[in-house]
Amino acid sequence: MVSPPKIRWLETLLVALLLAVAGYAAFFLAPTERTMGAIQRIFYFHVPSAWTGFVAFFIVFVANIAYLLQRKPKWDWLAVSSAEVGLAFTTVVLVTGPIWAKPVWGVWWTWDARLTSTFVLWLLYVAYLLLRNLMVDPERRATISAVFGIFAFLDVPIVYMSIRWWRTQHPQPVIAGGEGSGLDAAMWRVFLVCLVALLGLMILLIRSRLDLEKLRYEVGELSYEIENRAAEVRVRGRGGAGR
Amino acid sequence: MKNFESIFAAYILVWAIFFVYSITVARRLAEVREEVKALKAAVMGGSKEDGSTGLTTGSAGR
Repeated sequence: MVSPPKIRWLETLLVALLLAVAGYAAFFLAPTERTMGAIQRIFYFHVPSAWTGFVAFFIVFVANIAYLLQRKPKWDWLAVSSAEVGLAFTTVVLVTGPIWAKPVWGVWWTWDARLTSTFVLWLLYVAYLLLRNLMVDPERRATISAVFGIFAFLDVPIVYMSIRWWRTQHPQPVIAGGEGSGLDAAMWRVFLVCLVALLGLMILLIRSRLDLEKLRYEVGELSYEIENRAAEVRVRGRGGAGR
Repeated sequence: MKNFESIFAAYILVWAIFFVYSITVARRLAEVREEVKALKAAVMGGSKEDGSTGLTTGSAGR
């Protein structure tokens, strides 16, 4: 159900406010990291974007399974909407990462396990969206993309675990990384504000994208209706001519 | 602030990606809304001409 415009407007305003607070906190409130210096501040949008992307892809995964079990179009709409939004967040990750890497590592990119698996994840969801465009029949498109979407999600745990399983140039985990890892309390607070703001943005974007899918469905229904009527008119015309 | 340009570039790009994506979704929504409006008008027009009662249901997803 589409929420009333006033509530939507308030929700958008709230997310915009949260994003502004997050930007301010990341730039001015978070303490400067001792070894990397100010460039570490990219972390406050890089990591929450990655996590938000994972959440979006998890929604795709759940919606794909639900579609295969129930065959209801709403699950397919949710899957494609979340995939597109997840892709936008993963693009942010792939853009901000190299900007951080250049001054810290001296190179924009290296083919280590974390970076490569993230790039593969991005490619998988680009392929997911391209695959959908190749198929016209909605049921066939939903089924094949649901199977592909479930397969694509297998890369998410690989991306997450890559810095735990293999030695990578990418920094070791600072959150849930075991002994010796962790964030300063002030950094944690800023990180959480950024994460909540980006999750809010993700919800708004998925909902708007979902509206688009619902409207496209309506276009399909109306076009079908018009085709039916045109066929009826043709049949009536032939009947009339035969008399 | 050291590396200010890099941080600034990163933040500008983050907002640019989200902004461009939001604009593309809004534009597509506006286009499809127009399409729905035009199709509804065509269906209603057809109903008046042939005297039928309007939309039927159950043609989902075809």
